[in-house]
Amino acid sequence: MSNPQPIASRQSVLLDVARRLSSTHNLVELVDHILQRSREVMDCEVCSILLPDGPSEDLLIRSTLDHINALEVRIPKGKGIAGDVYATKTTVNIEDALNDPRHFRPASDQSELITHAMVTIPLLDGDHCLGVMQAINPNNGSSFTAQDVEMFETFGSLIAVTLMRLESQKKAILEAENRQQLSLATEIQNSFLPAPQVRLGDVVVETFYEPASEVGGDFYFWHQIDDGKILIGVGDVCGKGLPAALDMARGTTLIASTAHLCVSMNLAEWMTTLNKRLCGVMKAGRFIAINAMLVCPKTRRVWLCCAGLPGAQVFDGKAWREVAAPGNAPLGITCAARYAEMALPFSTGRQWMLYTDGILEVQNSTGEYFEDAAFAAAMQHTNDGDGFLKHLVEQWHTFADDSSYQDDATVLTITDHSPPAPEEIALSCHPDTLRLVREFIETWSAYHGLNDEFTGLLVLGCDEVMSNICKYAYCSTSTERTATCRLASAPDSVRILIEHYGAGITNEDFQKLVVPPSIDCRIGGLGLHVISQIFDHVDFRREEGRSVIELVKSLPAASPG
Amino acid sequence: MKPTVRTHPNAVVIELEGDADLATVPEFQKVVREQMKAGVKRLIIDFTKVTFVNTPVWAVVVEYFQHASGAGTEFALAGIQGRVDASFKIVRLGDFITHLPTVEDALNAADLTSKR
Repeated sequence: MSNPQPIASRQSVLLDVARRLSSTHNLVELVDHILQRSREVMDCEVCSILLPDGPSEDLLIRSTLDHINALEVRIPKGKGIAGDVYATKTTVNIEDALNDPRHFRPASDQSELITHAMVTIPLLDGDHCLGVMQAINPNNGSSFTAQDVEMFETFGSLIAVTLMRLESQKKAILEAENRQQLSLATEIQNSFLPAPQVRLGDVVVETFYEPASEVGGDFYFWHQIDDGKILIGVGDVCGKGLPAALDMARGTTLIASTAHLCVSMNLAEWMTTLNKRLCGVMKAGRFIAINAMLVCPKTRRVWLCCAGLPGAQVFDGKAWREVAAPGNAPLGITCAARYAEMALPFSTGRQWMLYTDGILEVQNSTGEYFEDAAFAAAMQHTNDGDGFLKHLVEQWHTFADDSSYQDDATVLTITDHSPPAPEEIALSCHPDTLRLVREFIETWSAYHGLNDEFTGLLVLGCDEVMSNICKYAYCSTSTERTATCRLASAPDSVRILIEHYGAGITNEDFQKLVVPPSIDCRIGGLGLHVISQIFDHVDFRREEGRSVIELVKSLPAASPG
Repeated sequence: MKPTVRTHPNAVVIELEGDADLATVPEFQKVVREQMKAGVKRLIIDFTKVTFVNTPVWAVVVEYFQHASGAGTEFALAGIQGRVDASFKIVRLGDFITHLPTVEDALNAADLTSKR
């Protein structure tokens, strides 16, 4: 008989321990209390608990002997009776531990304790062993009885439950702390993003932004510059989480602090400057892909610079298409990088879209990527740009319904709400009304972002045609003096159709009448000379009783970025 | 656009303003022909405030140039710039007609014929 304590007394201690188990959150304090109370119940010299510590799964001993605790004694994984019980998850009750072949005493154990009888139990959570407990040397006997073992195991199961509860609480606290940190980081990151929607004069900027985790590397930006230009863009920092968020903060801060340079720099020069500054602050191996757009509502010109993200899209009133802007390297890789831009009339489209690759790279539950077919289908939206962003986002969300998003996703749209310029004017052809045609061309050209020199030539060329119609096609007594002028833009030219009901000339007449200027004879045919000098293609023809003059002028080549 | 005629001690200046087009040709032609009849020694047409010129207007200029050449009158254009200059270059009248940056330049020139 090893333990003379009455069963009722031992159960009372057990209940007391159980109560304590549920009321404490301090693991060390709890373990020490358990060990003291179990030593009382087991009526033995020493009680210990051995819990795995760190990735090596060494068992760290906590004992009723203070000097053992002070030394932080460890049992290497798989060593000793404790290691065996931890591995096999089976209770071991032995009378003579010293002579057991599994016996292991670590060198760090400087205690004078000589182990004789010892019971070692696993602390189990189902099949998972949380650690082991040991009772050593009963005070009243040479070994522990089956009843002792049963009582010790009851203790053990209580402790296992408590360890699980504490582990779960620890995990929950850590998760809560992480969530709080992420939430704070998200709040900080969001503070670097401008409002998701803004109207700047006739230009409306709208965005969709969805980070893959709470803290992502995507961003968007818009800045109105002093001269009225608008700098817009989307960016994607490589990587995810806090490092990406920090680079995003660096990127957006540098963009904000350099945006004003676009007053005097073109977009490509600004990107080159931004790249140099980013190279100075970003760590090696990190970079930012940015697609930027500079809009000048005054001159109605747009410049695009794409560096590492999918090409910008433009909606021309009929369909969305990709803008063939030159590709550039992402920013932050090398200071030597040079950037190229593309210049276009703002009237190329009523709506423009910049987006990050997270839009294309999302996968649905069947493994299909959004870019495979769904993106093209979503871009079929042709309701004159109205509600496009909402439509695209809905399609994207529907597609990715069951999947976990793999990357941040950002879309930025720019919509031009300025009233479109009329494309046609009809008038009664008279010297006093010719200024209306000139004003019509000025308005149309301004809307289409054509420069003053080019516009001046269009105005002069059309005025020469209209003057000739006034003077020659309609005689002074004509009552019918109707004429129309229609303008159309193509990617590389402007096409003008002038129609009237007077007597027109033929292409042969034109070739005969057009004469180079000469001062020796009375001036004549000079208007036709001007027309031939201004336009690249001139065609005179008759169509269904009307005289038609078709004029085409090529646009000046875009300046190299 | 109504042409304004200003008489200086050594010249007459016809000042044009705004758009010079087919609608303004009759008035401009009338003023120019009056100066032909008046037999001025030096005529300057000031384009400084002109924003647009088409060939019917240049035709009036050529008409006076031809008259001046025969009458021994000094004749110059002044202040041609911007879109007017583009038009002037296309019709290549600068090859024949004296043209100076400002009216002052034309008034102060010793001999306008040498500027051709």
